[in-house]
Amino acid sequence: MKRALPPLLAMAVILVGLSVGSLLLPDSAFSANENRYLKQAPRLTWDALMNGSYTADVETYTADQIALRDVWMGAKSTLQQLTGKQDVGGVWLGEDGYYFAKMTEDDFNRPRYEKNLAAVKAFFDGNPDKDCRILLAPTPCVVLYDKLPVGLSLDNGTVFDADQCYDTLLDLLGPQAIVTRWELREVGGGTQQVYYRTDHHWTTAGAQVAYRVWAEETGHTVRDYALTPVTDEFRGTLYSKVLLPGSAYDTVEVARDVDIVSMDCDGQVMHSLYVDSKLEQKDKYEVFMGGNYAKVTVDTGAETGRSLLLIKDSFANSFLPFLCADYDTITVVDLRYCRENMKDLAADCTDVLVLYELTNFASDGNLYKLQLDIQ
Amino acid sequence: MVFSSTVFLLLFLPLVALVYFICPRRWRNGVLLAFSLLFYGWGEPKYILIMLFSTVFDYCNGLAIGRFREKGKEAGAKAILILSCVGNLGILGFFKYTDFAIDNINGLLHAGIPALGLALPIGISFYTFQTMSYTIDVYRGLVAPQRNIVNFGAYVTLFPQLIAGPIVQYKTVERELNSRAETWQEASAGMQRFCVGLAKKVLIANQVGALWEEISAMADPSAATAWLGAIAFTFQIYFDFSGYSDMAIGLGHLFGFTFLENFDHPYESASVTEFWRRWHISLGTWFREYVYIPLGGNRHGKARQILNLAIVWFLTGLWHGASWNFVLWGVYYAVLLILEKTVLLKWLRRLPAWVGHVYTVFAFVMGWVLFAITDFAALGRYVAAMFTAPLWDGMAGYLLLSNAFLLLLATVGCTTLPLRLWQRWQKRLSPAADTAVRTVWVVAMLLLSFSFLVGDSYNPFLYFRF
Repeated sequence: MKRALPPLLAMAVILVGLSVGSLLLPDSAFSANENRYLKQAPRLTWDALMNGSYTADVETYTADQIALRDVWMGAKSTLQQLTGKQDVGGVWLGEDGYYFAKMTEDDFNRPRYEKNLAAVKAFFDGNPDKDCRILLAPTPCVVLYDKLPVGLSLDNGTVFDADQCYDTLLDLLGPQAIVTRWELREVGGGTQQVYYRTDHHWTTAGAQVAYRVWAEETGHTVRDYALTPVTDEFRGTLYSKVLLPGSAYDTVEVARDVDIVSMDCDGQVMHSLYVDSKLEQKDKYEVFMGGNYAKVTVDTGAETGRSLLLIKDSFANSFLPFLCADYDTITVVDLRYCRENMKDLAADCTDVLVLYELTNFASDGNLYKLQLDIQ
Repeated sequence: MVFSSTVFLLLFLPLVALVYFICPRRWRNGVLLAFSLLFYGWGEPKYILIMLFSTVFDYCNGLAIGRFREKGKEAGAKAILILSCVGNLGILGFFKYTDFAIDNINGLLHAGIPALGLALPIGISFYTFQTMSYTIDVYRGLVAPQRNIVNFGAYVTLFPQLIAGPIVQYKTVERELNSRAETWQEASAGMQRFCVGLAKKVLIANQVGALWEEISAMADPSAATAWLGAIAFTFQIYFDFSGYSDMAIGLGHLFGFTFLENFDHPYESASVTEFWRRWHISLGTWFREYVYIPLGGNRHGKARQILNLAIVWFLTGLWHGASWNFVLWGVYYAVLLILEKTVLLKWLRRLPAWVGHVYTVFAFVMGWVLFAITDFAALGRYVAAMFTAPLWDGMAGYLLLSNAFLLLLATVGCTTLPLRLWQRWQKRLSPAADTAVRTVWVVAMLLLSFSFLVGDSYNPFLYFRF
């Protein structure tokens, strides 16, 4: 018995300890690391018990509220990394601390991409008197291909390479399409960081490169803005998926010189493009405009006589400041939430810009709203 | 409920162990019965009723057969036996095969009969076979009818093996069911076995399973990638299923039960015949004892033996799932086994041993491909990729590199090598060192498994579908 007890006891201590520990610790409502709400204690009802939802909820609840949750998850990723695994939780662990959202040719939604492009083309064709442009920001792996893990490359079919997508874009929309991948590559291949290492967005420097391409192609003056770092403790969405303790910290910069008169974000009026309080939270990218809204109207105070309708995803949030000197008002629309008639919004503007990240554009199911006639 | 979940490990297991060992011996089967019903009803409460019906039905059948026997009424005993078999197979057939039959009738006759859309009660394929083994063995006089319904209920519902086997025949546990002595030694050994099973499931099966999922979803994999996928599934199903059996056998020991082994390193076999003696042993034994031998086995000449093998393997395939690919898989093994019985084994004996191993590995990897892909068109595409797609591409290289350690671990893990190394090492250890190593091992396996369990969303048990 003396020899039998220690293993049994060790196991009991771990299981009962974890069990009691998880029960005693107060439940957390939100996991900032994973950027999602955690399951709360389910209520026992007869119906929920009989249809199996109660027990399913208890399963999720115990898994979500287990003691040391982040430690377990980080330990798992670390072990996988130590054993040579180069993709963990749908994230490629690249060189120099760069993480990439896993993206293969099979992952790219080509039919929807072409459908969405057609929707944009139809919208542009319906506004022939306006300066309409589309800018699809390249996916990080397309630009920072030299940072991909060993064995992955744009040339051997293992990674989505975007060539065909940009060809389709140029075929369909010709001069209205602004392609920034080569310029981003040129700058990003050097010492400048054009994408965050632990987040899926481009950096402000990356957005600035794209801005320069945009300004040159649309005939605007290319202005130079100084970028000021506001935090160097940013760990973004890709970090959340792997939770590796050794992950890099990114620096977030903003163009402080850009002033606006006011900004109406779904009825909430602000006087700066930046919400510095968001630097205190985990997702520091929200410093740009404070996050995503259905519709934002920016009164820039510039006197140019021009106005812009910007249809966009979150990549535009850090890009927007660079446009403020070229337009009096900018109407920023997120098609996921906006229920207004796009034709009417465009009617009030001189220019239209569609700005998405390429793979996000290809998976977005809301572009059809461009053609809706909402009364 | 599954073993590899936080609910089981942190709530259910500590609670059932605590209550079980606090209670006096005579209540313990009752404790097991109550907790087993909770375990079973966790996902699908309403199917507890089927389980209770099955229990009461065969409890009564067993008693009735016993009573007819006592009075010397053979015909009555036989009638009850037939009733029991029809009842059990009827339940299994109704829940598992009705929609499959409707689907095929519709396909043939364009009848347009609506499917019932019944959810398959978990573990029904396992527990109907177990209760049938009871009534058949009572009829054969191998075991006495169980008079205590709690004891019988505990046998039918016993949660360690309820959901995915091993298929424990009543005669294996008859004595332990009526009186058993739990010991610390046995409990400790059982829990060590449980941790190994958990690690096999969580650290290996789930990980190679994710690799298989990734590859099987690819539009056009190269031949190397497709083979890698097939090998990944081969590893997944072994570590998943044998890991589950380890956990079941280990939990059995905790409560003083000894279940028979279900796996004996099957991937080391040198022929398909040997493979099936070492893979899912409890199912093979069941079919041999209750189908093959009653059909006459090999006692009525070669032709009859071949027919019997064909019947057994058609049924084995169908038992795994109501889908034609499982039937095809059964027929595939029937053909291989019949070939081996007639000529192949003789040839293999004359050749060097490695030929047999290469042939067997090829045979079961192909078998698992048939097994894994239920849709015939997709199956055709996948097999075509394995043999006719371009040999190599960057993806194959990347996946091989990224998963090299995992694949090496799985390869070594399904041989007897780790066990042999441990036994050699153990001989040189003092008793105290042996205990220390075991403790560290249990803690390591448990903590590693836990981190993967919490960190991973991919956690299915393959044999749940059956």
